Amino acid sequence: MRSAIGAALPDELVLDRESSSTASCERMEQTVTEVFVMLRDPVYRYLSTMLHNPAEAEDLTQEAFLRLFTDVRRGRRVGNVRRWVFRVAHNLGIDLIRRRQADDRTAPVQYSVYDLSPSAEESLIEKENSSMRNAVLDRLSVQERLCFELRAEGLRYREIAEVLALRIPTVQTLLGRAVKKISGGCHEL
Amino acid sequence: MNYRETWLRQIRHLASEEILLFLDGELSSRRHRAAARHLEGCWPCRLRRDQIQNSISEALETRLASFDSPPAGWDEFPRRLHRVTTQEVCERPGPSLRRSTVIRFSAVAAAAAAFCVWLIRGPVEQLSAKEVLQRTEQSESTRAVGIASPVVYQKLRVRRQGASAEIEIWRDRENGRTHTRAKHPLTAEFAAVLTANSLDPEQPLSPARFEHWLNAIENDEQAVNMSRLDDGSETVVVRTLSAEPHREGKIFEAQFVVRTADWHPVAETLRVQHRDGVREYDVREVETTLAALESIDPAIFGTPIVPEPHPALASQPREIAPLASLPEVKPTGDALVLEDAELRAWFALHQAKACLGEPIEVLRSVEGRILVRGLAESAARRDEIATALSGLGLVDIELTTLQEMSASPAAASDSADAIRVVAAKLPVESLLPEWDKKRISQMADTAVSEADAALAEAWALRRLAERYTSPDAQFLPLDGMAIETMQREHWQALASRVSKLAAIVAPMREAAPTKSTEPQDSSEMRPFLAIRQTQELVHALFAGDPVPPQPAEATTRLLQRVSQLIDWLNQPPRLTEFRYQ
Repeated sequence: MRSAIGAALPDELVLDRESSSTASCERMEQTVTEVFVMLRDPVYRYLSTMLHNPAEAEDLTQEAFLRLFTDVRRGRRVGNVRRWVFRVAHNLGIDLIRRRQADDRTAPVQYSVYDLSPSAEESLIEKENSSMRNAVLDRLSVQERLCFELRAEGLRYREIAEVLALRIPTVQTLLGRAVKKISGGCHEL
Repeated sequence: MNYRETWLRQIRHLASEEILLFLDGELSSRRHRAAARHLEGCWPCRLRRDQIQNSISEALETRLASFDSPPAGWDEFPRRLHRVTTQEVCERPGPSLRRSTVIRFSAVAAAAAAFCVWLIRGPVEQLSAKEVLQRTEQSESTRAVGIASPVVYQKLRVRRQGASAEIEIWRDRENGRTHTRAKHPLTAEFAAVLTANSLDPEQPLSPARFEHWLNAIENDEQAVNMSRLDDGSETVVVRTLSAEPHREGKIFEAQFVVRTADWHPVAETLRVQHRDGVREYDVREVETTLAALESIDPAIFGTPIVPEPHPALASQPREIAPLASLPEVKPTGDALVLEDAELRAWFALHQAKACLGEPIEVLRSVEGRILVRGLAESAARRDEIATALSGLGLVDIELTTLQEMSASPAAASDSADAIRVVAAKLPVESLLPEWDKKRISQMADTAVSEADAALAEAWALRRLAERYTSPDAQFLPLDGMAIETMQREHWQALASRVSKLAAIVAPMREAAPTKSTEPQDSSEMRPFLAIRQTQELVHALFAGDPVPPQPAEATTRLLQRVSQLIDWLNQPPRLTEFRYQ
C-alpha cells in the first residue's frame, strides 16, 4: 500500500508538441502511469476516508489520473502534480457524495430485482470493524480528518489549503484541533 | 519567590498549535529559531512536543492499519488509460468524422488482432461473433458438470462515468433460482438498461442473451478481435455497432469479452443513448465460484425450492417492459443535478476567488451541461481557475487569457476605456491640509482599493441573492451548505473591507460638517445601494472621479454610509436584502 519510495514526481506535466502525436501520447501515457504508481495509494487512502467505500475510492483514484492524462493531452500545463491530483480527487469525491445525495432523494422506494439494503449482519460487522480501527480518528470532524489525511500524505499546509479550498490559517486551526483530539484520545487509550 | 519560579514566569511556553507548526516546518524562519531555542531550555514544552509526536505516530499507525486494499487492485488502470488514449486519438477530429474513424480503427485493430492470433497461436480459424458466443454458451453449460445442484456465484463491478457499484449474484441452476444483492442505485439503473434491451439483469454476462440482442438489432459493423486481460489472459472481443437510429434507452454499441482459455465471459461494455447524452456502462467480473447447493448458506435463497418450470416456459424470453414503463430512477434528479452542477461551478469559482468581478460567466448549454466561459488575466490565473473546476461532472471550461485576446483587434479598442482622468489635486487634500502629499496618496490608494473590493463583494452577494433566494429554489443539502459558505465568506470579507475603510476615513471626521445638508435617506437605503454609493464617494474624494462640488458634504455622507454599513454588517447575514427591489 505504500507508494514507491525514492521516485520523484515530475515538477510539471506538459505535452511535448514537437514530437509526433502518437509518440508524445505514448510518452505521456507512460509518465502518467509512473505518476499513478507513485501517488495512487495516498490518493486512494484519502478517497477511502472521504467516501467510506473502497470500490468507489479505487474507481475515483483511477479516474483522477485519467483526468490528469486527458487534461495534459488537451494541452493543459499541470504544475505541482501532487496538489493537482489530490484536488481533482477531492472534487470527484465531493461530486460522488452529491450524486449519492441526489440518488437518495430520488431513488424509488422499492426495486423489483435488487436488494439494496445490506444485511443486518453485514452492517454490524462493518460498524464493529470501523469502531475498532478508528476509535481515535473517529473523534475528528470531517474537515479535521481530511486535513489530517492530507498532512499524513505529506502535503504542506499551503497545498492542503489549495486542495480543500481553505485559507492557510484555517488549515492550521483544523490540524491543531485534530492533533489535540488525537492526543486526548491516545492518552485515554 | 525562588529563582526557578522567577525563571518560569519570565518564559512564555509554546502553545500546542505552535509546537505543531514547529514540527511541521510551517513557522517562519525567525519564529522557528525562537521556538527551537525555547525548546532547548524548556522541559515542559519538550515533553509536550514529544507527546504530540507520539500521538501523531500512534494515529498514523492506526490509520494505515484501517485501510483495506483496493478491491480490484490496480491492474485495471493501464487498460483504462489505454482506452482513454485510444478514444482521445479517435475522437479528436470531431463528431462528424467519428464513425469513419471508428471503422478505420476497427479495421486496424482487427488486422492487429489477426496478426497477434497468428503470432501467438499460429494459424487459427477466424471465428464469427455468432460462433464465439455459441462456443461460450456451450462452455458455460458444461462448466458445472460433476457438481451436484451447482450454484454459480458471480461478483460483478459496474461502472458508469465515475460511479461504480458491485453486484453479487447467486444462481441455482438446477432449481432456476437467482438471488441478487446490490447496494447502489447505479445497479438498478443498469438493470433497467439491460431489461429495456432484452438482456437479463440476473445474468448480465450471458452469451445467450447477448446473442439474442445481437440478432434483434440491425448490425452496422461487427468485429471479432483478440485482446488480453491485465493478467495476460488472452481474450476474444465481440464488438457490435448498431445501424439503427439512436433511441433513448437503447444500446447502440456493445463489446462482449470472452476469455479464450476456458471460453468464459468476463466483461461487457454497453453504450446507451440517454436523454442527456451517451452513457457507457462497463461491467466486469471480479470473482466467480461454483459450489454445490448444500454448501451454500440456505439464507441466500431464502425461499423453498419450487418445481422446475416447464422447459417451454423456461426457454421463452421474459416479457420485456418498454423503458418508459419502468420505474423512473431519477424522476426529478436531472434538473436537480444540473442545478447542483451549476452551483458547484460557482462554488469552485468562489474558492478560486473568481467571483469578484473577473469576466467569467457560468452558462447552461442546450445539451444539459454547464459551461464556464471567460477571460483570465494570465495563463497562470487561467490554470488556477481551471484546476478549481477540474473534476466537476457536467462542467465544461472555456477560458482564454488577455494575452490570447490581445491578438484580436477588438481588444485594442477596449483598452482605451481603462484610461481614467484624475484631478491634479485630490479633493481629500483640502480636507486634510496638515497631511503631506505622500501620506494622502497612500491613504487614497488604500481607500479606493478597499471601496472597489467592497463593491465586488457586494456584487457577489447580489448575484447569490438573485440566484438562490427565490422561494421555489430547491437544493441538495450540501448545496445549501455551499450557498451558506459563500454567503458567509462574502459577508465577512465585506465587513472586513468596510471596517478598514472606516479606519481610513476616520481622520476626515473633523473636516466634515456635523450636519449634512443632504436629505437623510438611510432608512430607505438598501445595503447594496449604500455600498455602491460609498464606493462612488470614495472615488470622488480620493481620486477626483468625479470631483465633488462640496467635498465636506461628500465626506459627511461617506462617514454616514460607512457607519450605517458597519451597524448593518454586524448583524447576521441577510442575503435577501441584496436582491433587486
